[in-house]
This record gives sequence, C-alpha cells and structure tokens, in this order.
Amino acid sequence: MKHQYVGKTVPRVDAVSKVTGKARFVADFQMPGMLYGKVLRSPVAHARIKRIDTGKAKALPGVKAVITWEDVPRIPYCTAGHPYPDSSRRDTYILDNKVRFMGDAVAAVAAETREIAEDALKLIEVEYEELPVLVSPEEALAEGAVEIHEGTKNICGQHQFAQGDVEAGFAASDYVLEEEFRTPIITHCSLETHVSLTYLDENDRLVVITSTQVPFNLRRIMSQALEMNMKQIRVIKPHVGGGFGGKAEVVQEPLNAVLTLKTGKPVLLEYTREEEMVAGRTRHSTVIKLKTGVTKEGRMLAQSMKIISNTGAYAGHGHAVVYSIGSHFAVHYPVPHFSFEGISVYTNIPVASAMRSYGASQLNFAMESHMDNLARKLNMDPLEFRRLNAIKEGEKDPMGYFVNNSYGLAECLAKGEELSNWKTKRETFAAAGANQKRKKGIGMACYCYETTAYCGAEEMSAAIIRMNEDGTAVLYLGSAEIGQGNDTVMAQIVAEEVGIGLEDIHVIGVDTDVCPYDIGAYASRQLYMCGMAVKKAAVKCREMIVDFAAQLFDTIPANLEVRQGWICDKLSGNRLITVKETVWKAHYNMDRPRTFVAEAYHGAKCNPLSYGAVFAEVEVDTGTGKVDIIKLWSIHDCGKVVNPQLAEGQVHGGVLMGMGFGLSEQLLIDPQTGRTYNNNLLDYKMATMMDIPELEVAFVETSEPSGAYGNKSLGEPPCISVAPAIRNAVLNATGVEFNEAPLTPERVLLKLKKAVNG
Amino acid sequence: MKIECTVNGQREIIEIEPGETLLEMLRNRLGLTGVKKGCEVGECGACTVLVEDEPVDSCLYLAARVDGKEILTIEGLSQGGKLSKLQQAFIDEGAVQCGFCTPGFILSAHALLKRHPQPTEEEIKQGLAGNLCRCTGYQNIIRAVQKASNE
Ligand code: FES
Ligand code: FES
Repeated sequence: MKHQYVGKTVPRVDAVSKVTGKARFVADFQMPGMLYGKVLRSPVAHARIKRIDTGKAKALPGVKAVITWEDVPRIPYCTAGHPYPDSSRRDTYILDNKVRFMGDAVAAVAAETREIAEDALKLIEVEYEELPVLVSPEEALAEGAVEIHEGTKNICGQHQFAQGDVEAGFAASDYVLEEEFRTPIITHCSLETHVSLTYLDENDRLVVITSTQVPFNLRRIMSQALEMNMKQIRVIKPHVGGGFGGKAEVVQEPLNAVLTLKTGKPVLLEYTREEEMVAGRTRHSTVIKLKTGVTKEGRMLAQSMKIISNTGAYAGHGHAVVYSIGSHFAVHYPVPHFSFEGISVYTNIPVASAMRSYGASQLNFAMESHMDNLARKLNMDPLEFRRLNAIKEGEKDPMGYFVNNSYGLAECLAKGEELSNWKTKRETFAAAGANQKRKKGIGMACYCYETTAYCGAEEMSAAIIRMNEDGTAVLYLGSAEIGQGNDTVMAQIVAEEVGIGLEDIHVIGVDTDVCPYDIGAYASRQLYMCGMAVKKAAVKCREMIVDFAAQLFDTIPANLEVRQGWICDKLSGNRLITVKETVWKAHYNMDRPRTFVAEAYHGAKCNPLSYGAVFAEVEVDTGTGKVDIIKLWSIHDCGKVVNPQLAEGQVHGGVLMGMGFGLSEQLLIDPQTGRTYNNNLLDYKMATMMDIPELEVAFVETSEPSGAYGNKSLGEPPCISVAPAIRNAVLNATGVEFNEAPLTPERVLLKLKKAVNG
Repeated sequence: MKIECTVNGQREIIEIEPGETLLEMLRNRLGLTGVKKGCEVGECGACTVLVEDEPVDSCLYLAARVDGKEILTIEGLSQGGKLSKLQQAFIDEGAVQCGFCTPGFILSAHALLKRHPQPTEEEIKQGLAGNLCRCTGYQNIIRAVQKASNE
C-alpha cells in the first residue's frame, strides 16, 4: 500500500517552537513563590555520617527548608526507571546516613534564591567517619573489603549461563585465543542537566515537572519512595534536552518532592554541569575477557565471555545492563558451545546506569576487536571472517531472547564493502610500506541489537486519540519525546491512518493525568511499541468515523474507504465526504450524536533484532599518536524507515557518540580518593563541530513483520560499532592491537613506541 | 543598579544586581527563556546571545556590561511571526533534535552569516565550534547554515 505520510520526511511537529525559543523545558516554567533547591554533596567517597547540624543553615534568612536523612522516609527504592518489578536492586534512600561516592547527596536546602541556598549549604556542619575507598572492582571484591551496601559483598548482581560443552569446544579447535578488553566510563552529556520542578496543586497533589524519559515509571517509583498513591502524583514531561539513557532513571525527583512537601512551595532543583557529571549517571566501565576457539578454516566452535562491570555507588540499571550484554553475546556469532559469566560490582565512584545501547557498546568493542585480532592470527580478511561466523538469515537466537524475522546484516556488510572500497584499500594500505610516518588504515565492525526491553522487562505502550469537533485531533502519548522525533512519527501515523493532515494533530506527551501508560524511552522501542499502539488507535478511530459516514450515506462501512482525507466509495472511488466534515456532523447531530475517542495498547510478544555495520578509514600519526578519521560509513537495517530525515539524524548523533567512546571520551577518577578529575565539558572531551568526520549513512530496508510499518530499532544502534571500527582501522594501519578504549593520542603513542621497542 | 539597553528591538530599563549575569537577566527578569543554560561556565554555548551583533556566552557576561547596548535573543529573530532564513533552514535540514542547543546555534550562525555571508564549511565549523550539541552530530546543522547562506 502506498503511504501518504509514513516513510516520508516531514518537518518535526515541535520544530517551530524549538527554533523560535518558545519550546519550554523544565527550568523555563516559573511559578510564583518558587524556591530554589540545592544539594550538599559529599567531599569524601565513602563515609558514615556521624553528625549533621543544620541549625545555622536553617537560621539563614530566606532558607525555607533544610533536610537530611532524618527528614525523609526510610524506604529504599530502585532509581532505575524499570517497569515493575524493579529488575535492579532497591539500594537508594532519598537521603542516607552513609555516603558512597564523592558527590553523593548529604542534605538538601530550599531557599528563596539560588544564592541563599548555596550559602546555606556552606553552613551545614557534617562530621564524617571515613571508610576505605574502593574505586576498582578488584578492590571491592577483595577478601575482607568493606561493604558499600551491607550484606552484598559489593556484588550488585551476578549471573552465568552456558550451552553445549565449551571446554570440549576449545579442545576441538585448531586455535584458541584468549584476550582482555577494557572500556572507559562515559557520560551522557545531555545539554540539559537533570532538573525538576515540584509543587502542590490546589488539591495538594504533588506535581512533578521533570526532564525524564520514563514518566510513568518515575511516578510509580515516587509513589513507592514517598508512600503516596498514584492519584496523588502527577508527572509532566515537557521538552527534554537530551536523555540518552541518563534520564531513564529517577535521579533527583523524590528529593525535590520532599522539599516541596516540607515547604508547601514550588521548588526548582536544577543540577549544575559539574553536579551532572558526578551525580548524574554514566556508562559502566567494563573489563571483558573473551576466549574463542576456531578451526583452521576460521569457523568459530566455542566462545566464553567473562565480564566485570563497575556499577559505582548504587545499582541504577546496574546488573540489568549485564543481563542485556549476556543476551546479545550469544546471538551475534552463534557457536555450538558457549558460556557467559557476568558480575556487576559496587564501588565508590559515580553511579553507572543506562546509556544508549545498554551495554552493547562495551560488548561490541570487545567482541569486534577480538574478531579482528582472531582474523589477523588466522590470516583471514576480517570481513570474510565475520561473514563466515555471523548470524545468518533465518537462524535462531540460541538463547531465544530475540527473533530474526527480518535480516539485513549480510546486505549491510556488502553495502559497506562496496561504499568504502574495502578490498582495494585493504590491499593498498597494507602495501604502502611500514616506514611512513602517517599510516592509513581501514577497518570495520558490525552489530545486532534489540528493539524492545522484552523479555527483560514488562513491555507496554498505549495511545489515545481524541477527535476534536472540527476533525482535528489530539494525540495523547505515554511514550517520551526526548529529541529523537517521537511525537513527529506518532503524528505521522495518525495522519496516515485517520486521514487528516499532519498539521491537524496536536500531541500531548507526557502528562500522567491524561496520557495512557507507557514504559517510556527505553531500549529503542518507542516507534516499534508505541507506533503500533498509535496505529491500532488510529485504525479504530478511522473505523468509527467510517461507520458514522456509512450511516450518513445509507450504506455499510465495508463499501467505504478513506483516501487522502476523503471518505470514498470503494467501488467507484467517488469522494463522498471529508473525514473532517464527518467528524463535525457527528458532534453536532440531533439524531445520533457521537464522539470519536480511541485508545489502544500494545504489548510486545517478541523482540526483533536490528543489524548494522560501520566502516572506518583512518590515518594515524605515529609521531603524535593522533588518529584522524578520513571517513566513516554507517549502514543500518532498522526495517522500514518511517521518517528518513529523523532516521538519518539518529545515525549522525549516534555515530559521533560512538566516535567519542572510541577516541576521546572518558570520565577519569582518582584511584585513591574517588575524585572525578574531569567533571566539566572542557576536560571531558565530547566532539565539537571541529571534530566531525566525513560520514556516509545508508539504510538497508528489510521489513519486520511485527512492526507497525515493518520498522524496528534505530535510536541506540548507530552508536554501537563505531569505536571498534575505528580501532580495527588503527590495527590495519599500525599492526598494533589496542584492546582498551578510548584510543587517545597518549595511549596510541605509548603503545606504538612499545611495539617498536619490543 | 539600573541599566538601559535594547533587547530584540525594544528599549528596556532594568534593575539588576551588580554580579548578575546577562543570562540571569534575560531569563529571570525579561522571561526570555529561549536563552538556555547548559553549563553556566562558558563551555557549551547554549546561552549564546548577540550583543552588538557579536555572539557572547551570556552565562559569563555581566549584565552590567550591556548598559547602552543592543541585544538579540532567539525570541527576536523572527520578524512579524515570519521565521528567519536560518530558522527555516534548521527545520528543513533536520538540524533540530532535542532543541536545547538550537537557540544558541542559530544565533551563532546568524552572527557568522553577518560576518561571512558565504562561509566555507571550514568557516562554519570554526564559527560554531563553541556550541555543543549531543544529539545531531552537527552534520545537519552545517547543512542548514549552508542552505541559509545560499538563499
Ligand atoms: S551555559 Fe553558557 S556556555 Fe554553557
Ligand atoms: S539538538 Fe539536542 S543538544 Fe543539540
């Protein structure tokens, strides 16, 4: 069927408000009598709070509340924005009598101005009983190490699984390679920090305007942490200035709510950039051991993986990320024998949690680097080595988590090979000689990645469409627009199915008072899950309208259809009446007045894999260690593309994020004290416009049978394979295996020197 | 203290605190919340506004310094409800995602195009290197500026 809106680039529904500065983000809401919240942060990484004296702070004119652990409900909750039940630990109190990382919350103040709140923080006296600081998982897991959370042995989560007989598989192999890979702490760097505005409405209900990806899960978690029922809490998500997983979490809203409940006033709690980088969230740093057995011909027979993930002071999404890594581990290169062991460890560093690709970036860096190292030992072309071993069309996930009913990996590889001119470059770069100071290289990496959170979490989306009397419509969404274009694609679906214009649709998302439940911007699920819910609701809506039109024209609905905004006679194609006029007539009707309101929900029954590949051409300066990217090719099978411009935008942003992971980004923590060295955007090196490489994006369009329009995931995948592709290109250029990211000039230079000097 | 300045073509007399930043003045006193705050220490460019046609980080710029000067914020860019070429180009080229960096980018680009009506790609990159964006990968922002400069 030909579509009018789906599959087309249309302007974003929020574009005009964003380019004119009218779009309102949390901090843009001003309330009369609003107070400013501030958090006192721990100057030590691990300590018991022996004494807090807030007397002087409370006495400061303009201070309306000072709260410590003694003023908040003693209810542990899970900060991860999971649906129920929490799949991570409930290990966080709104405030606690113990601090677990440098920057942990100790107390909070609400005051008439920000300056007064800041001054009040300085007047709070705290006596700490310091505890040993554990920065690395090795220290935290050592015999007799002090427990950061009692009764845990510093293990946040742990699991293992195996299939076949992995030892027998290694024994039967001609060649076995065992290696260790390390990935850094990355942070989201959303341009808008974590921020919320809480107040009480005229019925003393708690209203939370917040920058979140998960409004409904946030409401549930707050209702648990504050012992309030859901009717008492209203969560509003306005425009969100970037999320990337960091806002799939309840980071500061319960604390702010307590300030509002204590004062009865609106309170704005806005993290500074420095706070954000320490007390926000990060991507887990990992140590990954991979061991693989292959035949002489390059066929993989057995593989084992052991991962240690540093989750920091609190679980956040904690071990759920390692579960996700485990679920992706066995499906990319299926082998008869495999085993997996994963552990998430508590340490005294900032909290690691969900970040775009949910562990797949770490797994993929290790796996795809390992694949190139293996291919090198086998003297095989790394692309051919992957072709031989990667999941094939129709092949099943050995663990059964994912479905493979739309398969584009082989085509992604072929497209990348062709676009990058792979064969020629592999030959010519290798032949260019060892003596050049600037060495050229080409490398690649590929991935497969989930679409939804199923079956790791309870998946659901829903949507409501309400037709206005004049045939325009309001679309109520529980899914969260956080910049990716969610509201736009959902509106496209309504326009497509109901037969009204895009400009006729107003999207409300998200206000928990009026929108239907949805788990939110989680995984890369919204277009797949909520898109289906919107489609179902829109079809219902159209059917109701057609039904009414049939009565008007004294016919049966089966004889009618909607085309380009018109209700037409199916047989003759004659236009009978516009959709809009039909809706008007239904509302202003003496005999059979009616409304058109449609709700639909969608629960996942499977989790389709998306695929993709990144090819990278680099030049390495062996004098400085600097890696210059000449060009990147980023190719994706996300099923059918619903809005090409938005899809391409996801790839552009994801690629740059992946490049940062590969080359420059890492949060640096002092191993002794747990201090974060680079908690600002100057010293934490995310790419500026000067750093962008030439980039070519291509889509391989398969059709996913379970997607509303053949679509599957795209939001997260573009960041996944970039770092290993660059790393593999550097390997091709220099012959040196870098098994730790990022490839900063210092690291590259040091290792190149070592390689030369032996 | 009192200062007098022109904001988006409008003459304003404003009572400010001596240490107040231009960012605070514009957001809190004039309600111009299109001026965004991403770091407050001059690292991200989200707070960019134009003072006498020059882009400045309003989070570092003392409000007292704009006495007698002319300021342009994103709210003043569209004339009579009509979007500027740049604003339109940002929409057409898909240069907007979360939109938090967008006002700052558009104003930096506006100043750039005033200085160089036909900038090269390199000049665009240099001109906008002080503005950070985590969503778009910058590709479409460059295209938008190119598009606006060609019209
Ligand atoms: S807020 Fe001014 S530069 Fe970031
Ligand atoms: S569009 Fe989100 S930071 Fe630029």
